[in-house]
Amino acid sequence: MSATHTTKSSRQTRTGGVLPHFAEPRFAAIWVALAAMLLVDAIFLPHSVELSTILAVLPFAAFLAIGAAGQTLVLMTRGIDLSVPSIVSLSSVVLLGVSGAQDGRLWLAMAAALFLAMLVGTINGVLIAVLKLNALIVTLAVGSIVMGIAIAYSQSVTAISSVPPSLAAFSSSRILGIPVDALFALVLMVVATLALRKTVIGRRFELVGTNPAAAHTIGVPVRRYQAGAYILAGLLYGLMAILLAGFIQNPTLQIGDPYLLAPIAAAVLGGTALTGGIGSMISVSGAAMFLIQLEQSIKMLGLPSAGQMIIEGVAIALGMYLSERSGTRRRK
Amino acid sequence: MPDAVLELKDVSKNYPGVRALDHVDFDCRAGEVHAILGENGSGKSTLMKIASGVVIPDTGTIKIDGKSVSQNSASEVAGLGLATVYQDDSLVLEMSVAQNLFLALPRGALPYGEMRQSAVEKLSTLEVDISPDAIVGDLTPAQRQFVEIVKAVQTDPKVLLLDEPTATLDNDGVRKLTALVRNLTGRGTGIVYVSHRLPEILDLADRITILRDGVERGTFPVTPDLSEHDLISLMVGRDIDSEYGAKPDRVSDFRVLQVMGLSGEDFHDISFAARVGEIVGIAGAEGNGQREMMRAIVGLEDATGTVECQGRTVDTSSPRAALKGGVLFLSSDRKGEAIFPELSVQKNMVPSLLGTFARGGFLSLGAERRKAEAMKRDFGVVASTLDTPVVGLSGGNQQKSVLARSFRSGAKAILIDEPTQGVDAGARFEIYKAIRENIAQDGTCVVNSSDAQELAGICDRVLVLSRGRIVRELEGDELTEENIVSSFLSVRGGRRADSRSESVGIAALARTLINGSAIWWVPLLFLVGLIFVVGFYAAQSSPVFLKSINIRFTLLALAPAALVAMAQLNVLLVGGIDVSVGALMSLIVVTASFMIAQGAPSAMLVLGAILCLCVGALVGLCNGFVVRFGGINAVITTIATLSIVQGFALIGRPTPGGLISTNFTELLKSHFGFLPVSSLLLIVFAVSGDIWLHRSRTGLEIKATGFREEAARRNGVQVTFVHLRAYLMSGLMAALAGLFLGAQVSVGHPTVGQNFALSSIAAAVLGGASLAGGRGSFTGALLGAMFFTLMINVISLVGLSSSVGVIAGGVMTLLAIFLYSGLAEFEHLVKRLFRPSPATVASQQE
Repeated sequence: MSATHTTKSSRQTRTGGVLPHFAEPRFAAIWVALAAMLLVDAIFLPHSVELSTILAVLPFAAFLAIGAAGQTLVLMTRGIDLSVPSIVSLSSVVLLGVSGAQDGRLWLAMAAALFLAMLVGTINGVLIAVLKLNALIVTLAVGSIVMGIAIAYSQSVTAISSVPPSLAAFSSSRILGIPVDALFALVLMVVATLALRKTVIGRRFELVGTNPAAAHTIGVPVRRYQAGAYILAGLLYGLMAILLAGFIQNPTLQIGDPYLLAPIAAAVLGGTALTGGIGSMISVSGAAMFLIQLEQSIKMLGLPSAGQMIIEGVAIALGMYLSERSGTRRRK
Repeated sequence: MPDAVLELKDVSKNYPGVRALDHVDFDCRAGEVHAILGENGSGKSTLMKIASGVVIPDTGTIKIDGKSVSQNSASEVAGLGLATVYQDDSLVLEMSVAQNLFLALPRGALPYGEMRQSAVEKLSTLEVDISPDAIVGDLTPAQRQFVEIVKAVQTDPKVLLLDEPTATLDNDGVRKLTALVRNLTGRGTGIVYVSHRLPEILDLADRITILRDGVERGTFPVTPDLSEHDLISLMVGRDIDSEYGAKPDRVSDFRVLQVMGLSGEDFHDISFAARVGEIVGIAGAEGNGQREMMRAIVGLEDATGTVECQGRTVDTSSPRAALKGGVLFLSSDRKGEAIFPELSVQKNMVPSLLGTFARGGFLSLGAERRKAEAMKRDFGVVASTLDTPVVGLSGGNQQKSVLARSFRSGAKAILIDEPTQGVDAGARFEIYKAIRENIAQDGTCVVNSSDAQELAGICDRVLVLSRGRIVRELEGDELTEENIVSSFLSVRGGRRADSRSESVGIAALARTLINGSAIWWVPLLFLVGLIFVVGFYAAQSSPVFLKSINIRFTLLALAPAALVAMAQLNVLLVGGIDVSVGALMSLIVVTASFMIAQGAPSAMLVLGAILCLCVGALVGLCNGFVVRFGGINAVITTIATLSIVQGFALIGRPTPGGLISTNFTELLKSHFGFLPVSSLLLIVFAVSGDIWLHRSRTGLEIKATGFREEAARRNGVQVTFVHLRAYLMSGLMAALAGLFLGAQVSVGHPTVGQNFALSSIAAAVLGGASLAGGRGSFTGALLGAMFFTLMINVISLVGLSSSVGVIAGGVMTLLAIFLYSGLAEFEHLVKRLFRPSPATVASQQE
């Protein structure tokens, strides 16, 4: 074997495989950023890094992480999902309506909320993966329809304004001092990571995301995997809606509003490649913590909370730009 | 003797590791056809590219019409009088013949209105019988080739380069092309003609130059005693490399793969068998249906016919089904269809084996690693580690990785398209060896290659395709490089297959609808009808609907909706999208509540309005710059902008507040009778926009950019400028829409515009805009917005809750994009569903 075949391969060696995937540069960057922010906060805003403050904002990081995990699945198939706020709103209003604030009906209400969330995901998935319609417009339009249904439904259940007490108690409880929502999110992330990296389905999903045409030629049912991403994402949004509704106890129709852009920002900052296939749930959770801590710092500085949106926008653009650049460099 | 119109002297070109051209001299005289003959890789395309200024030679001089070429740029060469006929990517398929011809002319050379007349003249002078109004995409490949030629000669070039002009032509097309070439030489144009087809060349050319391995092997005048055989041996001339392994004797006649009566758009009635341990080669000049035929066997192209593997019928509806039947295809488009570039070597090798690594639901990493290491060793993949991304490997090692995957997939018949494209010499022979070893037991391999030497060296049998049919089968001693080349060079007959399948039932109706939407005003008729139906229903069910106050109210609400739809149309036309328009409208409303505040002096009204428009222009330009220069897709860019712009709006007014000057709002809401001034403005905008778009060169350039950016660029359109202008216009018009929205709400409401992003896209799409770019009209966007506004009005009039309006908006959007872009896919699915079973197909084959 002549040495000419090796070309650049020796220089291209990555750390992946020897170290866990989240130690790869594109996934590690967010941890560095998170550490840097915590450090800056510790110096200039010591109050924001006190344990009590951290524990208080952790549930919000957990909600965002779950939502961002769904968005990441979709982005990994080269799609995008703008129906998140509507699915969250519908799920929580259905949770209210079906449960009627009674503990006895909680399981039924949760099943209904999750079913509807997955149903919307299925509609998205079929329209996008099977009929090949534009993901942006489909999810925006489906989101509009779902929001309309949520509004209509909420008008019929105006008498009920709070979730069943047991859900409220669960969602705001702590185990070993850690908010249960955060633990729940942690478990979800571990499951998602295992599923993506250690199962046949997860690995085929990675193939579909990286190169759908190549996956198709080697016999992977590409459409099913692409549609599946939207369905699973729906399930995650539903779970998030239930936890979130339980945590704030009196959810309104606006409950989903912050989750249009923030999950995209978290996914992009967590190293997810819009060119598909590449994503890390662990790093996306890190990005969710980063964004929530940032929001907290902005609040404590007394800056307008809308500043968060500007930062998210800049983060999306900058994150994309950097990821595109590293992507094209590697492709050359 | 006439003067040389093209003269290349002592031209050399080196690519890393390859001497593409070695001191080549070439000239073409006025009024002659000078053919260049050579195999794939002989350097003829490099020579053509150097002549047309696309490639810069290492040494040598080029003269066109006696004048030296100094800079070697495509535009300089074109200016000196050289025109090139490209094979593809130079015509905008969605536009008419006349429009394509017009677009290729320099700006200002011809008034827009004379486009059609001029096209008629040009086509008739050259005796080309094609309607100037025909859409290029509907033409046959032959007709497209003629349009390319007419386009190239409309500037009266001194010399014309024709690269494989007959590759896609049938007999009749070749005859017409011959006539056209004679017509041109009669006018004194010099023609450089590159082709594989010897009979055509002998028929047309005055002189022939033969290239082999970058070296000129002689120039011969065409005389009756010039022998075809001599030309072929000059062209081939290489000894078969002895490094190709010995071909083993066949052990069994068992047919692993059998293809019977396979027909598709580019190939016809293909039947052959491949036996155990056999490598069957597919040969032919590029573009004669070889690749399409290979792809059809695994369902990557539509075809009818039967495929059997190991005696069982294979379902050829998809690669997945074909793999179940034991047939696997490996694409020549390595980056596009074979490798997973960013994934590791290991992940590229093991996909089809993943199931075997599962232990209790989870993959055993140890088992996977061991298998991957074995594969790496067996196929001689050189990579520093198994975790190296496959894209970082050399072409040869990438190919070995995917070969390993293919031969370990369990498939018995492996179809390989160009097994050694982009692979260095050392690795090639290892690949041949690997193929041979891996089919020895019970497999077979079909190889399509453009390299005749390779086919002669490795195949047991070679099938030669020409114009979609098998014209020759070579085996044993007959199987030589020379015989392969001469069999596709000397072929004359063979009609090109043309079996475009008819669509069925609903799908046929759907196709008509899709075709209808290609004409920009068809969706308008549909929309006007829809508006009347809804209006009629509303007039019936609500006495208020036709009251002038209601009409005025609706028309006032129309202004922002229609303006933002037109804003969106600007970007949709160039194939972009702008999700930030709604947030921008909110920001403008907020800005207006500060700058055009209640009680401000009237000078401030003008200044404030100008400032608002500047904000819009700035946001639009930012979008454009990031999309074009940052290389980020439009969706993500404008989502980021949406977030930023919305953030600023919320900082300005965290909650609704701040009155906008009543003088200003009253001005924008002023009306004649029940008709608001804004409605007149909208009509002016829509009509002038459509005149600009559909009746000017600028509009044509916009559409060309949207349809096919590469073709537009080749025709000299400044595509980056066109894109930037589209985003700028979008920002400006959305800002104007924001001012009208501000006039309606009259307070600084920070999120008032948020629903307009979706409705603007929906309105434009309903009005005929295509998300793929190129299609749409401003009137359509106006009518689409009118329909939306009307729906909302009617819903509130008949007492339905506002949620119905929100739902209706979403449903209409889905319907609109389904009608205009989902139907084709739907038709395909329906066709797949009702696909006749192989048995019925067989019986239909007479």
